[in-house]
Amino acid sequence: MACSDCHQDISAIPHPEQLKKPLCATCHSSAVEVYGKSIHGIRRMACDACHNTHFITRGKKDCIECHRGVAHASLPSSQKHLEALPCLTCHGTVQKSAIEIGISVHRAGLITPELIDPDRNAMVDKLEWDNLLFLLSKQIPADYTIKKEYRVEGDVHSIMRKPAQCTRCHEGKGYFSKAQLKVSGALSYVIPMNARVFIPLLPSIKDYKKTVHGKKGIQCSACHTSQKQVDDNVCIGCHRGLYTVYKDTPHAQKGATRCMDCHNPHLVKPYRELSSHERVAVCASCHKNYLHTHEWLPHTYLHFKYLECSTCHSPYSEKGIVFHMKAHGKGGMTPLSYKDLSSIFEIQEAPRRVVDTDNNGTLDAKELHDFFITLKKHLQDKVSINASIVVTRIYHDHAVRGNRKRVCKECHSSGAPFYDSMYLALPDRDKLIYLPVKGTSLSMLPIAVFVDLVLLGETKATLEDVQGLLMKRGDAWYTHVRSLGYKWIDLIGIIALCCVVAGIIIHIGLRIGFRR
Amino acid sequence: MKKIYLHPLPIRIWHWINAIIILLLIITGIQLRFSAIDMLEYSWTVSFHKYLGFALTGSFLFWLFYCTVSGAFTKHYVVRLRDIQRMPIQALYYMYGLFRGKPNPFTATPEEKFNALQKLAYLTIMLAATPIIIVSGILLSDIVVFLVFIKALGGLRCIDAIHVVAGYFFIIYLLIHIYMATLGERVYSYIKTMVTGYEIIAGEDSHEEKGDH
Repeated sequence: MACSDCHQDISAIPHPEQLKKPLCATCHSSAVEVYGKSIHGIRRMACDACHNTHFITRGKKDCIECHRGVAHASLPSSQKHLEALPCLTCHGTVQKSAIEIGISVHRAGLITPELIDPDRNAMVDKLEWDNLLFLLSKQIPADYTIKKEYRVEGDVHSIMRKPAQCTRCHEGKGYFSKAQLKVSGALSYVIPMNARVFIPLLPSIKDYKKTVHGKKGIQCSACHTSQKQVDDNVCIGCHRGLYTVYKDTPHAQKGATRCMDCHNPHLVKPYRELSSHERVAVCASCHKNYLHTHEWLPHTYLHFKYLECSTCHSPYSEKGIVFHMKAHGKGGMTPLSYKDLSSIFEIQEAPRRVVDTDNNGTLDAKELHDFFITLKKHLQDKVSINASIVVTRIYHDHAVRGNRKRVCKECHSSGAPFYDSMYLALPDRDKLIYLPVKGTSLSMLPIAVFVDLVLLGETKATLEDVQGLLMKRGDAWYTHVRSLGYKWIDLIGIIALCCVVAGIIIHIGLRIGFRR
Repeated sequence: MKKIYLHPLPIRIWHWINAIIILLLIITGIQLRFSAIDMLEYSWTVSFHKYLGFALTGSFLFWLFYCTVSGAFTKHYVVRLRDIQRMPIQALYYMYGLFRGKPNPFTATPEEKFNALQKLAYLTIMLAATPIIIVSGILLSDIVVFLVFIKALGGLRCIDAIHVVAGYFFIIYLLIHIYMATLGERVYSYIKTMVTGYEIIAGEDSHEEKGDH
């Protein structure tokens, strides 16, 4: 660019000593227009307050040169925010934003896509991220680097009078709703991540009505009686029973001393509808090294994928199995809706009747089997039937003193407590209903129906099964025989073993008898 | 008395190591299956069973390699047409002839170590049951890593069922195998053969005959 491109009043050389101030807007009209509306523009700061007009690539000022040491006192976790985010994120207008995680590992074969994304849904979630960090820190503590970057693209001229609200990032479709994990080193690839691993969602008034408190009609003012932070006394008002157990536990005495250290009263889902994954997240917010402390546990990842911490750490809690169904739609696998159900079944009264055909209030193996077969027939591969082991009634002591035993056998046996408490979660118009399931349904349901189901002891024969075979008569015997399902493997195996042992004993007897 | 060298040292070492592995796998497997039996801590048993399974895989691969390279596989294990014809004769001996003091219709030689029923049993256990239990065990050892294969093969319950059925087969085989080992000249004769490598056959001139494997 020539000098006269900006200093347009130069008509001859030598030019007058005093020249008019050039107008940046002549070339940068759109930037100047945006800038004019910004707080800097309103306060009439000239372009050269930040830009060196004669050496445009040099001497550009950063925000911090003027705004050094701003406290950001009202910003929660201010140090974390200030270290991670450029000023533009909150104070400007952002056009593009993304979280980029870079992991560099030079040992070949160590972090394959399968290792990072074990469930192979092309999305790294919280558990998978924790699992990856655990594996890296265990296997190569000094041989990897992780770089986390919050990238924003926007116009620095648009600095606003007031900073953006927290919801700009901490709400469903706000900024940083996309994240990706870039792996480099021996293997290089990119895999999407769930951005909520790093930026949690905040509750909103809009969502409050969908929460368990909101559905029960509890008004904001019932808890927020003053500007002060809500304390435990507010919770005790309704949940006295739980608090009576909790107040004497080690958790209450040190660590999670407040109810809200673990529970978010604005959560959209009621506790019973939280997945085990979401329930683990509650504990993991403090017990961040939970994968390290459970290194002894075989199949650690699987246990944390399907079980919540209370399954083992709250022995007095009631556990159950909940069958739930998912349908494959445009947005991936989503819980089966009432609409899906009504498109298959003719629902005249309550949806319960489509499963509970004998209307006795509980479901037996045949009713469950017929229902699942019909579902599979209509939705084919678009439906997935799963089961989760969940705590159905919580006992609020999660650290029973002296109980450091590894209680594997409680679940890994046919006598596990959850087999007595099974439910089918069935979608109604505006909620899920839970129908009790009775009997040894699991072992007799064929694989074709339950291909995704992975449970622990339902295929192992018990003494009761043997007694049933020997003692029952008539129809009860036939029903018992049919309900055994996979347990026949043990029963036939043990019968065959007994036959072999008997054969050997007879052979030995004959050898002795014939002196051979 | 005739002394025949039947089992070379590598096979004898393999046999006893394999026996210990299988015995420990059966013991830990029973505890995993019937958790009311409380021998070791459950989580420890799971890990121990898994590592023993890997040891069995190594042991099986060694046997396969050794038998293939040395030619022992085709020589001693392959069931031929004449073996099928001999099976009823051998079975009849165990069920009747043995008690009447009749001679064993089969005499082990360095060229043919096993009788027709032994061949059938060893071939089934080594080429069917062992690979099945190893493959299903490897799939169960890391469900997350092998999930795709597990689903393709019918799901976890199916793989678990196959593994358990093969496990029962092993226990039954082991009981019969140990009992049959007592049917030699003396109760401990065959067991001694598996330690020293030599089988002693009574009633013939005393000399030593050596086999290649």
